[in-house]
Amino acid sequence: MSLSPKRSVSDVADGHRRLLAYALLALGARYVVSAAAHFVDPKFGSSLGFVADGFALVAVGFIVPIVVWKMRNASRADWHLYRNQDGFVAQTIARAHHASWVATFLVLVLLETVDTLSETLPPAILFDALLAMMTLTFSVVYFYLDRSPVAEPRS
Amino acid sequence: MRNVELRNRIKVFRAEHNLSQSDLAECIGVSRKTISTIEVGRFVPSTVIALLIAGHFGVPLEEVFWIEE
Repeated sequence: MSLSPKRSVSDVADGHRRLLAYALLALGARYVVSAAAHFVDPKFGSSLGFVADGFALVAVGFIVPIVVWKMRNASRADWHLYRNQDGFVAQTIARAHHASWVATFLVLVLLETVDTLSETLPPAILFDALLAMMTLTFSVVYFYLDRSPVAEPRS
Repeated sequence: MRNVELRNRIKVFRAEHNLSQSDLAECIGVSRKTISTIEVGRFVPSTVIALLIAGHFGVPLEEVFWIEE
């Protein structure tokens, strides 16, 4: 995703929100792999650990441009536009967060109600699975709502 | 609330003023995606954005946006 100087601050902000969504998708993959590593042969499990670390690095890679842009752009007018939550992508992110929160809440209630589930699975697996579900629910909802560009070609 | 849909005439006004989606978006202070999704009715804009768009074209709000049952 290029950060060409021709893009408006609002477009940059949307781009950064998308990067954040990609970062959460990568984190979701990291937690899925990490949870799966508990169920396979230890040798293969350690290889999966490297894969999980790779996904974590990818997630960090998506976040870096956001941090760099924020460090470079301190103008008050830019910040006002950058933080504006009125746009389509910001609203879509909010809806995805909402869906993720509800899904996580329901699963936690289920775990709290059905004691056998939380008692049989080690906490490390539970946390990985919960974090995977939380981040992947966000990603699925976000990318579904943000699907198919409907814009006219760039002039 | 009744089952209504927000319609708009942004594309017509843009054509009349010879503005691209990016131009309008920059004037209003929103992203191009926001304008494009408003145009096709996928995104219902806030009152502020709707007023800014109508104000930019110098017309009353209801000339740009209206609701249909």
